[in-house]
Amino acid sequence: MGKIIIIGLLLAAPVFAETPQDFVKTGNAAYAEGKFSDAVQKYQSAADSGFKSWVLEYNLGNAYYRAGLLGKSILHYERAFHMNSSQGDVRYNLNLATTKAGEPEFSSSVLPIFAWQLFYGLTINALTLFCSFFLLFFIAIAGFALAGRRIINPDAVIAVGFLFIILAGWTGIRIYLLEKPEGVVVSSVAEVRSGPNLTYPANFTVPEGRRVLLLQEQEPIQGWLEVGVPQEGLKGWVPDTSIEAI
Amino acid sequence: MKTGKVNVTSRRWQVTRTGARMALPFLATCHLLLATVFAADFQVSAGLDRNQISLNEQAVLSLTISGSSNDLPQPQLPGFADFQIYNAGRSQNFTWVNGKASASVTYNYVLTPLKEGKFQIPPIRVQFQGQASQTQALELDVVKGDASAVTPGSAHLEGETQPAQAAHNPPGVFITGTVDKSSVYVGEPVVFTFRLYNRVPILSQPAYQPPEMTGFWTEDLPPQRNYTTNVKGIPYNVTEVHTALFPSVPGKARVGSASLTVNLENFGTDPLGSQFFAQFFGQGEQKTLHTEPVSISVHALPDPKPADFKGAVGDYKLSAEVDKEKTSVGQPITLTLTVAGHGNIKSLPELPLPPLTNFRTFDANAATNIEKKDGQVQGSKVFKTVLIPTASGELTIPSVPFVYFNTSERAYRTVRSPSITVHVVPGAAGANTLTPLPASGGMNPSSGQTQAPGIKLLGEDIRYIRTPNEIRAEGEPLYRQKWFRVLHIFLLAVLALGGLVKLYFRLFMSNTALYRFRKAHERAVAAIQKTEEHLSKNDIKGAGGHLADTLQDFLAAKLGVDNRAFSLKDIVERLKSRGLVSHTGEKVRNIWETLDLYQFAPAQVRPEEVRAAMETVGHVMEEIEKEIMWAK
Repeated sequence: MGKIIIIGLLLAAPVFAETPQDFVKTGNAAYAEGKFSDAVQKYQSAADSGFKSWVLEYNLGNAYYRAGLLGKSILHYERAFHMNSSQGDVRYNLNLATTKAGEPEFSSSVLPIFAWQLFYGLTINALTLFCSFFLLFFIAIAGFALAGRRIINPDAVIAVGFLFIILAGWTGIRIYLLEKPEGVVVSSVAEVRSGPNLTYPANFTVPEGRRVLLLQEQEPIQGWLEVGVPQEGLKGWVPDTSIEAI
Repeated sequence: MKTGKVNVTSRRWQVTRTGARMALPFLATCHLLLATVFAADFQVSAGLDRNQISLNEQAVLSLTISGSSNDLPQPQLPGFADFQIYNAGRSQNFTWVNGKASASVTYNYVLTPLKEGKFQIPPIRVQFQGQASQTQALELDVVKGDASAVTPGSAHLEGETQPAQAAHNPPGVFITGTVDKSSVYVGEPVVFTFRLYNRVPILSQPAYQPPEMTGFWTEDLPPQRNYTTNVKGIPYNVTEVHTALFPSVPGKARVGSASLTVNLENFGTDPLGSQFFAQFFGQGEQKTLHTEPVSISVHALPDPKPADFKGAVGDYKLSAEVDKEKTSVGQPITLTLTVAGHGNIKSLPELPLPPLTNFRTFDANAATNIEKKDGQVQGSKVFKTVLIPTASGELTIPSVPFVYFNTSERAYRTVRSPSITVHVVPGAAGANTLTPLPASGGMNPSSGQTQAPGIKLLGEDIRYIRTPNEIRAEGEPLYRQKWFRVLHIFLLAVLALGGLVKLYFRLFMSNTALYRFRKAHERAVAAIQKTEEHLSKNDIKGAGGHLADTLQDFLAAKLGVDNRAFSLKDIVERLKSRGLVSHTGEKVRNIWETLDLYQFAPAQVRPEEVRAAMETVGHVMEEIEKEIMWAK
């Protein structure tokens, strides 16, 4: 009888397993009650299950921020930002957290902020779809031209072509930035050494929350990553526990 | 004289205690007033509520400082040897007309005469930022008072603790602490009365420890009263001090025990005892007296409470006025709402205006005027709001409600200000452009002008989490997805192909000579096959003519000349000039002549010979196709 019950419970278990959405909802409830560590745990469970959503990453960033883990919060805000750069709340929190880490996302003057917001005003999917639309447009124009029919003024084609070049360049830069291998320091401080083990001297330190470039010039060595800080022109090796890739 | 001593000492601690309580809000206000250095003209004036009083009466000295700014100095009174002085509060007033502010602060002092006679209140001089102003001297006539005016035993003595041995050995001094009500509502005033009874002289300043009054707002009720009364047939000098208590929470409230330490002159003890010598050398007999604690039942205000009730308790009236009833669009007017009456004026809640559609509103300030008369706290709270009309016409400022709990009727009451109509004319060109108002909000202490209530950033924090009902899983970005890449490669290929086709047409199809050149062999080969049609009809002449035409067309296309517009000689020379070897020219010549023969003497020609000629034409054209290059 007991075995039957156990088998029954095991069979029933998958039926009652929490979905990633359930984890997010319970995480939201914990966050609302001020239980930020519980919220982190729930959100992280959803993320670990492979669920990808900018809302999840944003909320996880918030929970980490409230829990006092600045590096982790910036990491997840960055992920949310990569997924959906047009969300004002994501940008705001990312900027607030990075400012706290000493590396503000926005520049302080007005024009760069405007330019920054314009540059990231569209999601990467929206940009790629715009590019696809332009491409289809040109194919249609070319098709009609081959058939000997002119359906649009050549000046307009030139203007649209110019726009397409700008859009394609914009999309290209955005994709380049997205694909740039970056990481965030998630430990309280990362000691960057001149070689991939503790026998090498530490050359500099990077504080929690700072973003670094993950260099791929060499094969990663077990437990160590080669990172660069382009602004300061520095590079070196850090334990992979100190950095998480965006 | 004994009475006089008691009075002097008790007055001193009274002044000290009152001064300390009034000093804090007073200094805070002065600090605000002095916060911004702003030189402004100011005037000082003084007045007495009456010019003649009896010895047991008081006169009120009002000292008013007014100026063009709310940054007004604080007066320093000169010494008054013939009077006791109590600070009886102050009131302030601000006006703002046509962008100019004016303010006045009136300080009230209660003067209690110490002796009869004609006295002069000397000029009171106020100095501020290098400027000085002073009042006129005032006369006050103090006539002999009728001591019997204070009826002995008229003091409210219920609940007093009196010494049990009073009948046999009445004490030289005792104190009492009483309240006028033992059961009240939250916010309803209770008057606590402390009395000092003495029939022996008090040698030095008594040390007073006020009772603990947790759960009450307190207000001193000056002046203290001095009179004589009989307690069980024994005359006593009485010094009486009142304090108004406003309970703030329901429940059982307690006024603790007050204590007073006094040094008494007492010659009734053994002349050889130590106390006798101590008194002789000026120390007297020291006694510490205590009052009994008093309990008060504080009831919560009854339910249901009106929706607009915000905790005001007492008895109030509400009035409203504007500084001008005619204005123009963009020109401010000041609305003054005054809540006046009895109760805890200081704790009166804010008086929000209902939404005004045709005005921009800016809160100017709220001033509190407190008076303490007849053992009651009364006064007014004045709320000033600057209204800037945004439209012309007869604009109405609606009635403003104020809800309070009436302590005498034991019920909630609502008073309403009258609605006010303002005639607003259209402003001159550009009048709608309001004077920019600073963003910090509230009254600018330096200029006295009102400011727009701007956003005040208190801190910066992350924004809240997102909690959508449904969260969609997001995949990889489009540009990383395989199908998207394949689709775009295909689209790009189509576009490139289209471009190439276009290029091809532009390069080749638009040049007919080149097109003929390139298509010549293909067309000639196809044309040769049609010769069989003539042969099948045994039409040797037609077959020979067709072959000849085909060859000529081919050669014309290859050499870039018109069909048949050239001779055999011309052809051979052209072939030579294009670099073809000589035997190719010979072959062309031979087959050309052969085909001429077939056309002009077909009877002597057999079909096999024509077929052989077909092959020869094919070979010749093939050789030419290989050897000859395109030339413009």
